[in-house]
Amino acid sequence: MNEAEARLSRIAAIIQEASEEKRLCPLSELAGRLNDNSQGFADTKALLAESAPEEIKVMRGKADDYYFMEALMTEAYAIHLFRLAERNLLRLIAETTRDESRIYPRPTLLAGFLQQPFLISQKDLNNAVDKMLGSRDYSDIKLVSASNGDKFLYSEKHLNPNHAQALAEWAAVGEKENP
Amino acid sequence: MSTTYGYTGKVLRIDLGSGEVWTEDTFKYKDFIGGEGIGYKILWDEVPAGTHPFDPENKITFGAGPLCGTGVPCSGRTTIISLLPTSPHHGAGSSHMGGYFSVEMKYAGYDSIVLEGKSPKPVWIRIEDDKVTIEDARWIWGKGIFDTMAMISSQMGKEAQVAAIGPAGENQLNMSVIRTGTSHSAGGHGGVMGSKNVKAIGIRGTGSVKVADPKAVMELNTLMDQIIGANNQMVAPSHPAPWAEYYSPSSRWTGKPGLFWGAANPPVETGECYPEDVHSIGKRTQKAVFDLGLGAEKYTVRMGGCAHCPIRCHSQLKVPQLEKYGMDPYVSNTCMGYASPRGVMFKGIKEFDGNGEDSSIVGTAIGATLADDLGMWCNYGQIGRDVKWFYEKGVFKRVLPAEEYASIPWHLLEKGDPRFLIDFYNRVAHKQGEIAHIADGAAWIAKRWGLGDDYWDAKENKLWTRGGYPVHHSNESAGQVGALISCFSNRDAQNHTHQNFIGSQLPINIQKDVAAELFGSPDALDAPSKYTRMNEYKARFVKWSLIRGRLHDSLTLCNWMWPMHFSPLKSRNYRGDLSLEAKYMTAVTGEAISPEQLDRNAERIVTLLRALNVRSMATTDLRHAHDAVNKWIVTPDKDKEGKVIPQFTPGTIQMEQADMDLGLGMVYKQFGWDEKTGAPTKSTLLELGLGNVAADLEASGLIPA
Ligand code: SF4
Repeated sequence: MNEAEARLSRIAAIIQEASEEKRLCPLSELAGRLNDNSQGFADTKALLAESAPEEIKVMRGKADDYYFMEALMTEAYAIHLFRLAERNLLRLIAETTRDESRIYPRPTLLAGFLQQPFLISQKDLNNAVDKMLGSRDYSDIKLVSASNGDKFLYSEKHLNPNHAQALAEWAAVGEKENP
Repeated sequence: MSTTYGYTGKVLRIDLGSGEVWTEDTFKYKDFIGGEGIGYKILWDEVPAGTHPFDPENKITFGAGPLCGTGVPCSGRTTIISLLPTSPHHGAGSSHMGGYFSVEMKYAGYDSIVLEGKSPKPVWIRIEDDKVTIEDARWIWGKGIFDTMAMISSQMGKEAQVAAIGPAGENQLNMSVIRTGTSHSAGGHGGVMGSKNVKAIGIRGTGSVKVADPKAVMELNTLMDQIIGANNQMVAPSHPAPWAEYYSPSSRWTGKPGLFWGAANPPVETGECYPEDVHSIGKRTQKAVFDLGLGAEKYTVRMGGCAHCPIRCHSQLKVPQLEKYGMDPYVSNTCMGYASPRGVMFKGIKEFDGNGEDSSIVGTAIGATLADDLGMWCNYGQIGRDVKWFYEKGVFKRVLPAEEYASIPWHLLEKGDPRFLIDFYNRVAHKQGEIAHIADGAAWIAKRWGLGDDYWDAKENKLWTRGGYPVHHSNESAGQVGALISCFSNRDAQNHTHQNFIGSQLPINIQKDVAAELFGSPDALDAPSKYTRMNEYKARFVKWSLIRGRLHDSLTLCNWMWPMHFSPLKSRNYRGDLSLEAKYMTAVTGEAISPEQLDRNAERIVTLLRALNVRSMATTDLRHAHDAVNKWIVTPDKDKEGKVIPQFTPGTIQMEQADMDLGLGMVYKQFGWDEKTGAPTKSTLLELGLGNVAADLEASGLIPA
């Protein structure tokens, strides 16, 4: 095994360890654990770009890159962690909402952001939603309440208001009355 | 006697009037598969038109199918078949219970048990393999089901399985259950057992069910490990999980790190529940939390369920607060068993001593225990909606004698005090006063209490047809698919074939792809609350769902899990395997059968039920007499400003009359029934091998022109 291969093997082991712990492995963490200087940091990034095995995936953030093992973590889950790591709460909430309005489709239960893996505090969540609903960048994101008080967000790009309201009411109330 | 595989080969017959006990060959019914199919065949051949469900001439069949008792996953269900007291034309119907009864019945050597006649005095039936005796039941008559089971078990041993009725069944309430185990209730037929003076059947079997190709069964079980999901065959978890591409908060796959069976000693963490880990399948569905909310975690002892089921969808709780109400703290139930008492307490639930924490769980547990002990059926939640309607609209005040009305503790209902449930359920189960007629069922009570169109046509009452049964995965489940499925039975549809499909929790595109593979077009399935008009592919979806429903209730497999449309594994492209039923049948019985042949046999059962309805309604015009939905279903919604929201716009699930009429015709055509009336044609009956049915109907002038 040459030096590059040995390094790659060590890198893969660190990424695997992080994925097993259900977290992304930032490049900064890799560099720290490999005792890289700034040149080493760039080399690690280049090495991964050139020779990383297929199962290692990367998400490129503003200030860091994040790696994960596809066999241990789906891209869908990694995206949640990536958005959390990027520390832009508004974007995290809006993008999650847009994805769910588009894919399933369904409105997104606000209380879900209090749970794993998001673990956003109620106060931060309330602030973020207040800001989002007044922001032009997120003008497609709307709030809808079910009759039991459960609150949901949806993206108007993918769901119209009546549709979102009906789906929210069903998820919060109807489904429980009709098991 | 030669070895039989899957089937035990014997149907046990008991005439309660004469005390005669005999067996007959199961194989004479083989074209009807087992379970439900055999029950309907017996009703057709042996119970004359016009029989009242409580007449001695009515018969009741406890049915198991060829897969029951073989270890096939989720194969421990019992299908009970008889005339339905709640049906206004006393149509045929099935009720279902899980637990271990049918498996024990097979081990005792019987595919089905048929009770007929009427005992002159209260009895229970004791079955120990081929020793069958009719025993005096005076010492258990009047007792609740819990005590009854304990007392019979004290005689037969704890290995015995017991199916029993409570006071509700003894008093011949139309809405009563037959129950086995701690929480497995078959709703609708308790009164039939009561009318025959049979309190219970206790059964102990020491034999086995022979399997033709055990290795093949084991291999199929290994394949099932890759396909089975959580309860209702939901294949995505309720929360983002590192192994999952998709998730949905509506999922019953609630198990996750940090979520416990909190009252277990020591508490058991449900954990990550990776789909490849077969050992955690039983932890995927933390059903207490799903049914009762997160507060139920700390009361959860474990999950229980039916024989040969790795899913375990009945939560078993210890709720110490119940002791304040003089009740046992241990409670077990699932789904509507919990939802129904909450419906009765429509003003909310708050404990009488002001201890509000977990009031809803406490009240729900009280109601579930009472209904299970007294043996009351809720008609899939209708009892709660009826209490609300009759109370708020002044019906109770109008129809109950003043003295009776004054004696009912309405103030407890108003306050949300769950002691109202104790009073209410006891009055009704013991047939005390006029209020007990609430358990006659909607169709009968509407006549008795002079309820008009406003009752039938109120959206909040959720009554599907004038047959008096409510929605059960109807128009909210895939639009016309669920709506049409709900038109064909004599009680709530109890069909999860389509519901499990749309409830997989996978994205709509994957579901549509599978719908296209199955029914010829993605248009067979609409996105939730975004419906399009009726089409041919939806009619195929309806037909397939009805057929698989009957198939499962005949095999007997749990239709709350089967069929296996989807898998949680991306490596399988999320595809399940819809030929598994046939593969298991082949492996178990040793006789090769294709999915198409098996479905065709189940189609025979669907058409036989249809013929039973023609006979009991004495008309071929089932389209109008049986299948016509109540007006609220085909009335457009209005928005907050009172403006009509047209059907087939996103956000409304209302159906349209012309579209439903078209849909019925398309489904009739799929089954080869007369498109105008919906009655089976002579040629279809003959093609299905139902020549005697055709001849009987023809003789009565009940074959469509
Ligand atoms: S899923 Fe539930 S109802 Fe079905 S067999 Fe399993 S435990 Fe019984």
